[in-house]
Amino acid sequence: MIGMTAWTKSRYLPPVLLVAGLIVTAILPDTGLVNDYLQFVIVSVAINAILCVSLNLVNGWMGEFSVGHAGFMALGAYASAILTVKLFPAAPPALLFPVAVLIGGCVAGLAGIPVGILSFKTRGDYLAIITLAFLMIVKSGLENIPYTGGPRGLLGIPRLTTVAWAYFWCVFTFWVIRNLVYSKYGRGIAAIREDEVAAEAMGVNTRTAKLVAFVTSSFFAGVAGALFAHQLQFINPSAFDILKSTEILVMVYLGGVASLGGSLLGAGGVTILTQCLQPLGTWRMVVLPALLVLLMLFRPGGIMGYLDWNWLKPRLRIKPRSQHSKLQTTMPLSSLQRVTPTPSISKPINLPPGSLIPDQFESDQVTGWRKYFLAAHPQAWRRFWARLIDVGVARFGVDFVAMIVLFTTGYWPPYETHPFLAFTGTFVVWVVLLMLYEAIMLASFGTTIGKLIFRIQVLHYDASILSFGKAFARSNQVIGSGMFYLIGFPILTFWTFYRGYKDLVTRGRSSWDAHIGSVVRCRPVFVLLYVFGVLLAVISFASCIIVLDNTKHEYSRIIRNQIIGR
Amino acid sequence: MKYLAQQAINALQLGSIYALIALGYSMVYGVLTMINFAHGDVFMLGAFFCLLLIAIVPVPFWLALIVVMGATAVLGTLIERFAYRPLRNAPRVSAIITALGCGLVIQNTTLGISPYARPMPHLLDNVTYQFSGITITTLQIIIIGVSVGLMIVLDFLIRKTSFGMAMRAIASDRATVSLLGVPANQVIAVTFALGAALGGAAGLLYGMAYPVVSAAMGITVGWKAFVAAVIGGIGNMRGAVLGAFLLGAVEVMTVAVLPSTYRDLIAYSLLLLILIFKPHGLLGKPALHKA
Repeated sequence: MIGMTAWTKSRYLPPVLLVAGLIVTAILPDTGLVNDYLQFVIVSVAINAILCVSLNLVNGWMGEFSVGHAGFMALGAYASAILTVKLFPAAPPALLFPVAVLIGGCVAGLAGIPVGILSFKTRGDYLAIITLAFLMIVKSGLENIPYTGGPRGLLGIPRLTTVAWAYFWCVFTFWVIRNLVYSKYGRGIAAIREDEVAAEAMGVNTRTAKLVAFVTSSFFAGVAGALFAHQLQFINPSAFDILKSTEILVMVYLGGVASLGGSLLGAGGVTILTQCLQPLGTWRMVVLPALLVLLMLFRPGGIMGYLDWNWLKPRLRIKPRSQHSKLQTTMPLSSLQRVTPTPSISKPINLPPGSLIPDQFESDQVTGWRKYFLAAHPQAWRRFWARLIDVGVARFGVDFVAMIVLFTTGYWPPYETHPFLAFTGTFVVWVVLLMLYEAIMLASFGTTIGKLIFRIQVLHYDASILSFGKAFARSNQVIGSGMFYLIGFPILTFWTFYRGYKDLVTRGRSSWDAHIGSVVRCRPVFVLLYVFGVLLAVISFASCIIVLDNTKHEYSRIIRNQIIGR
Repeated sequence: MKYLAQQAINALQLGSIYALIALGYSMVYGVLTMINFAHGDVFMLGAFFCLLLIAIVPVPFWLALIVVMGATAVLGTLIERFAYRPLRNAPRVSAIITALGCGLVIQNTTLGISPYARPMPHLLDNVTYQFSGITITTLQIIIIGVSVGLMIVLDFLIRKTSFGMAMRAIASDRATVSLLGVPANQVIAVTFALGAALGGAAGLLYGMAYPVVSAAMGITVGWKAFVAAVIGGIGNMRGAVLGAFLLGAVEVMTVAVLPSTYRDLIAYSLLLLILIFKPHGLLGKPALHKA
């Protein structure tokens, strides 16, 4: 273990991994493992990640509200496309393309200067309006320039954006913005978000900071625009309207403000979800904003707002005082002195209903492999089986929903495209719905169907029902057991075990909620829920059998033809 | 001269529709200091409600106007209750994002239900009058008349009634006003209902004047009206009306002189110019920034 730690903490690991990634992405299209469609999705994720993290610099770290990002993107796209189509059509693409992307970025960056200067005096809503005006001026200006094709747009752009180039620019963007954000300048930018007057009083040059943020942000928007133009091979002004900006905003605020990992998560999640929801047509643009509104109501910072994964942060060179950061168990001192027997797993604790049990238990009570992820409840097996039932119920529920969609649209899930995509697509949808099921049930009833059977209630430490946000965060752990249920995901299963083990070692427990292992009062609504769950399971199980009967060929059309009879 | 007068009537027609929408933006901003990005889509829904109503029962114009205003008022109140009220004390950006999201949901739902632009049936028999060479239609008279009438009613409401007083008081200091016993939430809900009703009326009038209704209307026209509100100084009712008529005039003149593709360019450049020299609009007062 020590050797492994030393190896993972080596300073040479990140560059080696990144170069390996570059090599993999460079040879990936030639291996034939991924088809054109998958390559398109991967490149789109990379471009959106660049857009998302660069907008996050202004909207997240600096706390302004810019809606003009698509304008900068348009400038980069047009500048680079003019270079490759109009000016140097005969130049070798391997040389021309990086230069074109750089010049696209520089043009956009230059356009960021006036907006940055305007932001010295104007703030908040009025700055948002200025960026909106900038976007509309760029868009309608491009519509009126005959040289670039006017409203019809620029055609015949060579397809130069490969997976490797997209990967390279994405990594480069994240590297630059990470170093900026965690530098002194970046602290200054974040200070402007918190309080501009105080930041200025503490010696932050707010004008420089704002200018740096705006120019960097627009430079990378231009880079993304250039990549976008050479991916689609066709651009027109109406591709860069307010809807494009809104799409990027959705990614930023879904993933999380002021967070590198959040940008990655938002861009990847929204892009893949958009592709998976393709059969819904226009309605998928209803689902995403509705998701955004819900997220804003319950978790205003986005999924990872103001947080980041450790591997994305620059490493501290100073050793932390690790001895003090480890939490000791909080058993009362008196009990330790008197050596009272601790409650063991074979003896359930009998307490009157509603009384609190301390939420930390001696981890020795749970033995064997279970202790690595099941140590928070005095009767771990109860929790385990309850969760297994919940996963099953949610799984059947999802199948049921999927069947309904399948029958109505005839194209669910996109099995025809690629088996890998179909697999991951349904998996993502399943996990999201599972988390929502658990969180909604916990936030409204304090228990779920499985937990109800085993008489477990999950409550806040003050015995109130968990808020939706907390319940949603908690359901991350449920996914861990879901992974166990689906043995096909060894890495994620390992990760869950490892996290559980780590939390157990450092904090003495593996989850952060308090449990009340007392009897849940039986309310009529619970009985109804239970009946509903059983019905759902039976119906969906039956429908699954119908599907399995027809797995030989393209699912959707055949089933649709057979059942609906069209 | 005749040409100019003709264009002035066109500008008045466009300006009065912009003014009705811009008032909705401005009222909400005045009360909550929040940009209600969903307002343009409420305007769009006003036109669609009218289509739906006529498809079910053929009603006269006045009844349609009242029903559409009522429906959009209910919609506005619902949006306020379920999307904005939970965020009353959240950071401003959350509220803006929620508003954007609500607008997108409304717009795309409409797009999903009705993917193509639809023609608006005639509600009135359109008579053309000639005054010494200037043409004016019944429709134009009604549009300008209804808009100006609604604006006068609104002005009376805000300046002379106790509700208006409560609204202005909330705009200046919500916390204190709540402490003094004014039901702030109710007043805000009514403000939203009023703004949405005006937006719905504007949607109906716009659908009659330019007889095609599409889901993209909320963006093309709604955002323009928002620009008008900002030019006049957002939060200021009279400023919104001034900005709307100014924008209408500029747009009509642009189309008269230049190709119509320059319309947006000129409108937004005007916005940018005014914001550079008068950062809070023509009639707006600089907001107090509390540290």
